[in-house]
This record gives sequence, structure tokens and C-alpha cells, in this order.
Amino acid sequence: MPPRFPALVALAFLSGALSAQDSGSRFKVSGFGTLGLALNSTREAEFGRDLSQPEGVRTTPSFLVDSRLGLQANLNLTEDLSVVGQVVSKYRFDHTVMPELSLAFLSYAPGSGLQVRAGRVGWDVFQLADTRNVGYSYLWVRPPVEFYGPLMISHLDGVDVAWTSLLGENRTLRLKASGGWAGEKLPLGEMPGHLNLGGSQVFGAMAEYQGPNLNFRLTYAQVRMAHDFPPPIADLKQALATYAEALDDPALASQSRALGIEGRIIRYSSLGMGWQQGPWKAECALAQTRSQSPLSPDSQAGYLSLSRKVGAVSPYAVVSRVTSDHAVAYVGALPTLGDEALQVAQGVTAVVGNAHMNQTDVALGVRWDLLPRAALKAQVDRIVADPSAPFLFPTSSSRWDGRMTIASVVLDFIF
Amino acid sequence: MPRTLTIPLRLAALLLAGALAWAGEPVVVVGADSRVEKLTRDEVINLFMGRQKRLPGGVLAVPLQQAQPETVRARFYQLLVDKDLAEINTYWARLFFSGQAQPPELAGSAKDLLKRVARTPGAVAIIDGDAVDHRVRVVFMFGK
Repeated sequence: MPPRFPALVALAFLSGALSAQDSGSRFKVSGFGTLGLALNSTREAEFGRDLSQPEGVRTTPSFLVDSRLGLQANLNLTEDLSVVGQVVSKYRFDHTVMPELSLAFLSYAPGSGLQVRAGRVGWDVFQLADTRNVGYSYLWVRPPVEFYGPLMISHLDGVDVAWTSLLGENRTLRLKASGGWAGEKLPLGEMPGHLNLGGSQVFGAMAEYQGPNLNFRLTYAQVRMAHDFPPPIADLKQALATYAEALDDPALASQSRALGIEGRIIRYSSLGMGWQQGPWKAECALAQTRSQSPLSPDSQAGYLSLSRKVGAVSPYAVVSRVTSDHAVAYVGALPTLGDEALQVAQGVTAVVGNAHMNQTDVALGVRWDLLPRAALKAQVDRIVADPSAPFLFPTSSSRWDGRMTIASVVLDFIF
Repeated sequence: MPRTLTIPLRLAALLLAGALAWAGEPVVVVGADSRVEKLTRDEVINLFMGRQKRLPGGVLAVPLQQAQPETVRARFYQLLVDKDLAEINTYWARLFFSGQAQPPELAGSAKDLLKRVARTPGAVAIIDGDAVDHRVRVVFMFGK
């Protein structure tokens, strides 16, 4: 069982806040938000920002894809100790916008470049992974969906330790390790229920170099899944196991086991790079995901973004792509054994087939920094996907040709 | 006694030249009773970009910046790291909302800022060079 870090931190926070009422600068409340509208060119598939959203946008414009609101409170307890709490309201797995605690940690930073945080901390497996909610902090309308969309976890309950070394001439090296437990839930497309990530062990390490014009980032992280999929996938798994025994078919037994994800480890590695020279800015990243389950297939993803700042306006272009291995479900003799067995065979084939990704997104957009703390962005995405690999569009219909154009406008702000 | 006269005159000329060097440009100051005499460009970058918490000597730094007029800060970051205010805010939004570091505090006009610096141990502040007075000491200026 993961310890109740967030509850402890919340308690420390409350008691600290009460005792610090008299000193204004020690306690600070800030926030961020996005008001966004997205529109899809096709009614045959829904476009969502990431796997946490149970529904995406079709041809009726939607505020749900990109709109968010976050509130953060910082309390400095001593020179070295501080507490941070953050809640974010956004469209989530249960079709509500119920605020969730995204950060709640105690930070110890003695000033030697070391920072230790305990509680609920962000999961920065990829470059922007721990600030995906803060639209104002990045260039685009949303981080490339092909790259960031498949990430299941946004925070963990545990500890992270970071060490920053100042190399001089505006260059730094930062090393970080983190470990803890996940706590989120993921919707499963049109299937009822959700995948419970609560209690899944998470571990990660990161090295980052930042120079005046160039930065590099290398990361590794792994998640050990604590729970299996709920029904109907759990029912299919059970049915396959029963048939495997009756038919004495070890391949079918192995296919049954493959539908389970409990105890399996998903490994993420990535390399990111950023470059800035005068008004020009480029960013690219590559990532590889390896798992031991066909329902979370091995995949490769990458993106390349280029922008040029002209006064307060930054036009940009970004290309992103993801592909995954194409596992084929083994159903043995099931289709010949009557209606019930045929249904199980069809169910297994669909579940394994739907876990694939193969798509490219070319986006053009513009960010306009209209106020010092607000940016207006407009972006058009043209997505070309293999319609038989709809992992990121779990609610697509069989009539979809794999193409969609997404038009989005967002207002990002911080306060 | 022409010799004794020239020394104060030379001193005055030096002071004037020094004053002119930062006139109109943003500078970094500490309280007049601070032990910090000088900061390097690197130290200024590290202090104001959230990478260094302590001043040389070990005192906890309290970075402050003149909020009004905005042009002082804008010019400062342009000269320091070649970024405009929107880029600086974007940089801080990422660090702050991921819980890594806290941005320098904004402290009103030059007048408000001078008061804060004078009474805050460890204060290190970005201020319009024209507003500098006896309560603070310039520890960094551009082009020097």
C-alpha cells in the first residue's frame, strides 16, 4: 500500500498556513488556466488530448478538450522548507471536471543545488510531462498528442531528489531520480469501467543539460502495473483461459495471460533537445515505450517543432508521429466452436487490434503574447492515421478513413 | 594647494563617470549594509533564473524586481539572457507550476523597491540605474 503522503502534506500545509497568516510573502496563491475550443472535421472519430479523456470532439465544437483551471498555493516554512499544493480541474475519466490534487509536497532545498520533495509530485518522464496542464508555459495549443497523449500518469505519490550543478556561463546540469506510486484512473474508450493505476509502482531517472542556446534531456522511467483491466476485458481473459483448458491449447492460454496487465512493467525512455538562436526556436524529442503486454504495445514516438518570434507573435510548425508494433490476437479454433466462442474470439481480436497506434500529425499555428500573462493561440492539425490502429481514438467508427483536421483556438493565462 | 583639490575632483569625476555608466540602464543592487560587493554576470543569471538560492557568503537571497515601469525589467532580461518578458514569464510558468522554484518577487516602483531592499536581509534587486541612492549598493551593471 502506498503511504498517504498527500494527506500528510495537506495537514502540514494547513497548520503552516494558519501560523503564517501574518507574513504575506511567505504564503502565495497563484493559478493558471486555458479556455479552449476545438473542432474536428470528421464525425467518425473523436479527437482527444490524451488517454485521460473519456470523450473527444467531433464536428460539434467542444470546450472540454483543452479547457482547464489550476490553483496553486506555496508556503515557505523556513529558508529551506516549503510546501506546494496544486489542484487542477479538467475533463477527466468519469466525464466530470471534478478538481484533482495534482501536487502536494514538502520540499527541502538547502541551497547547494539539492532539492528533495516528498508527497504528490509531478511525473516528468518526458520534457513537458509535468507541465502539460499549464498551456501558457509552452508554444503550442497542446503538447503533441502523438508523443504525450499515450502517457497514462501525470503525478506520483512518493519522493524525488534533484541535484543541479552550475557549470558557469549560463550552463547547468540537472540530475533527478524519483520513485513512488501512481494514483490515477484511465477511461477505456466505449467500454464501461476504467483502468485503475492506483498503487502502480513508478520509478524514473533524468539527466538534463541546459545551455544558453541548447538543451538536452535524457530520461528513463518505468511503471509496474498494480491492477488488471476491468470487465469486459477481464471477462474475455477468463473465457479464453477456460477455452484454453478445455481445448488443451497452450497458445490460447498464453493469449489469455497477455490480456492481463497486472504485474507487468512498462518502460519509457526518451531523448529531447531544444535550440534557440535569436527569434528562432526548435524542439525535438524521441521516445520509446516497451511493455510486456499487447494491450499497451511497444511504440516509438517523436516530434519536431520550429518557430520564429516576430514581436509578440510566434508562428510555428510541428510534426509528430507515433507507431506501435502490430500484435495479432491468437484465437485458435474458437471461431468454429459456436456463437459464444465466436463472440469471445471477436472480442479478443478487437481489444488487441484497438491497442495499436500509427499516425502522423502536421500542425501549423501561431502564439500571440497579447498580455504579459496571457497568450492567444490558434492551431490547425492535419492527422493521418491507420484507421485499424485507433488507440488514441478509442471511440472511432469502422467507417473512419483515418483522416481528420482539427481546428483549435485557446486563451492561456497565468495569475 | 592644487594637489589636494585634484583628488576630490578626480573622485567626483570618477563617481560621475560611474553614475553615467548605469544611468538609464537597469542595475542589480543590494542593501548598503550587505556584505556583497560585486556579482558576476553568471551569479546574476543564476539568482534571477531560479538556479541559485544563496548570495556569495551564504546568506539566503531574496530576489526582487522593480515592477513599474515594466521597461526596466524588460531591458534587464533582454540584456541578461536575450529574452523578452513573455519568454521570461513562460520560463517561470514551467518552473513554478511544476513546483521547482519561485520567481523573483515584484516590488512596485523604484521607490517601493528601495524601501524593501533596505529592510530585507539578503535582498538583491533589479532596479532602474537612475533611481539608485545611498540605501543600496550597485553590485552588477551591464557592459562593465
